[in-house]
Amino acid sequence: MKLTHLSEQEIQRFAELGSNNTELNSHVAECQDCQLSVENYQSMFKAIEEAEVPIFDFDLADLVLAQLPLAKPQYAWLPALAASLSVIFSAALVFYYGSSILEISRGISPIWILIIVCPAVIITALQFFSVYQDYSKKFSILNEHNLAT
Amino acid sequence: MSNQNAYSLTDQQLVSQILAGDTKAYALLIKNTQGLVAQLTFKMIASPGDRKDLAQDVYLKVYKNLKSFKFQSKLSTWIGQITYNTCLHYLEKKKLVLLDAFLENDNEDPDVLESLQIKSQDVYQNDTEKLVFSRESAEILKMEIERLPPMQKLLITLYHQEELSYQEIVDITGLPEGTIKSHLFRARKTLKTNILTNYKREDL
Repeated sequence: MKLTHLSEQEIQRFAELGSNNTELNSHVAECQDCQLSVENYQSMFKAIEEAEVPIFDFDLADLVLAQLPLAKPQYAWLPALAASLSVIFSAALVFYYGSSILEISRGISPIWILIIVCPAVIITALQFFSVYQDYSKKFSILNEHNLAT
Repeated sequence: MSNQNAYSLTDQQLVSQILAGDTKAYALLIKNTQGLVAQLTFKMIASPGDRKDLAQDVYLKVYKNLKSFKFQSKLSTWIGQITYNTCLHYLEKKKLVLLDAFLENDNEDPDVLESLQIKSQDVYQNDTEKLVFSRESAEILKMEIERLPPMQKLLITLYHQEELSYQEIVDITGLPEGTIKSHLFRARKTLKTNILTNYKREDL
């Protein structure tokens, strides 16, 4: 058994991690002073761990997100490319097969033309509406940000 | 991003989602790490208004530099490092006295622990009674922690409350491990001695 008391450093280490050293273990088991010192440290460590932690009294995430630059989608150019390609493709079709298309369309009854055209117009209108909504949302975010700054 | 899996995301997954423009992932990162940022700013900065500005500044810097994060440490440790440096820079700019307290003993020899060990041979004699902390005594403990020098206060918090390893504290503060250990040793000793000296058992 260790005959002298544990140093303060040994006591702190013992209190935190315990010990594999049989001499230290048996000393602490026998010595009331060292035992008390170890227990006091352990009690203090536990109290610190359980102590109230500081928290921000504001929503940090909201404040930070409002200041972030608007995220650009990874493939932002893809819709523009698709639109351009479809316009070029349609123009080429009309240019090369315009007369044939006219002849085919003469053969189709007006009711079939309505069935094709109406959904196309509705889909296009919905898409415009969605784009307008997105634009309005971004515009109001920008306005809020400008007011905040 | 579904809420179910949100908390089980690895640092890599979280970073890649943020870089792909997912702001919800960034909000999650802020929520997961703001505890450490709060601990650091509360211990280093006295003014609540400045803490608010600095905390926002930290997360704007994190967002700006996220691409350059190399995963050499935990993401939270990296954010802690940015917070620590941002607060230090702020103190330096304001020429606050607190900075001197932070930098003192910076080049401390790790052998200082040995000398402290010798000097402290008689300290155990302070333990004249058993410390029993109650819920009510939390305020006393908090007050005594606040009375510690800034660096000691910060290290007690990071090590015992945030449960960071020595290496993580080294990464955040940039201080040598020996210096951190000796500050921590002193902080614990001072805290215990002050509580035992200033309060009777009935107070705790």
